[in-house]
Amino acid sequence: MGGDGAGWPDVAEQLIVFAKADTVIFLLTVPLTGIVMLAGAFLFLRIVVISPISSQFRRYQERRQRNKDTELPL
Amino acid sequence: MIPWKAILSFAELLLIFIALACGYGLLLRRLSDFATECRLELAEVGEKYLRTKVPRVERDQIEFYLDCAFSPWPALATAFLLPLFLLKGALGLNSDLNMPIADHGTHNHIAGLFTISAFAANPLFGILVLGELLVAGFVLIIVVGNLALLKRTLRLVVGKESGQRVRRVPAQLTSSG
Repeated sequence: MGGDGAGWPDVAEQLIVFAKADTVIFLLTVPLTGIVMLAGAFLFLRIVVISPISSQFRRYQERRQRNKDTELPL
Repeated sequence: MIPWKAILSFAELLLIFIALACGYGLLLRRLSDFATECRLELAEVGEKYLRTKVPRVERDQIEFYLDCAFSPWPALATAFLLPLFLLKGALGLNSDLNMPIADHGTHNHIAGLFTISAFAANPLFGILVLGELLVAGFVLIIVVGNLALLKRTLRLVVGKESGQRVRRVPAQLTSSG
């Protein structure tokens, strides 16, 4: 991505030319690329990080509750 | 033709941000996996300990440990407050650390489990806290040149976490440098 020396002015110029040529496709691709990337990241974090940690937290709360109710001495 | 190269260059910053977020998320998940056993033990030992005759102040402390085992805030707060605490300790102003404790061994064990758990909940600031401790240690070694004082200060910090009764740094140690 941009590793061949293309600077920001070149990138912006290409995008402007593209937007002028076909506004509908521009609006579909450029913002959608960002939205798709963000949605993918959110999905990844939801499945790989949030869900397992929530499950661990539930187990932790269950263990706490079980030991709160128990009559066993320390 | 769609200029994908330009579009992806445009989104480069977003890609970097997403990669960092996903990487940190994965780290959080792995650390959480490693800390699971500690957290379950914390829940077990902590709740059983609370059923014994524990002084009120200590009870509050243990309940804090149990409630915040998954919270990222303790590590964050420690990162900001530790320098102040170390400064206070160096000036001998930590007079509020004398907490009555029913069982030092169990309390320290619970505090240790909580420390691991808090680190796993916020590794970013946990590493910052470790760095602060290291820097403080090196500063003490260099400025004071007294290992005994360094050991006492570290004991002071650990004692704060575990609620251990600690004494102030004697004047003869601070004046030796």
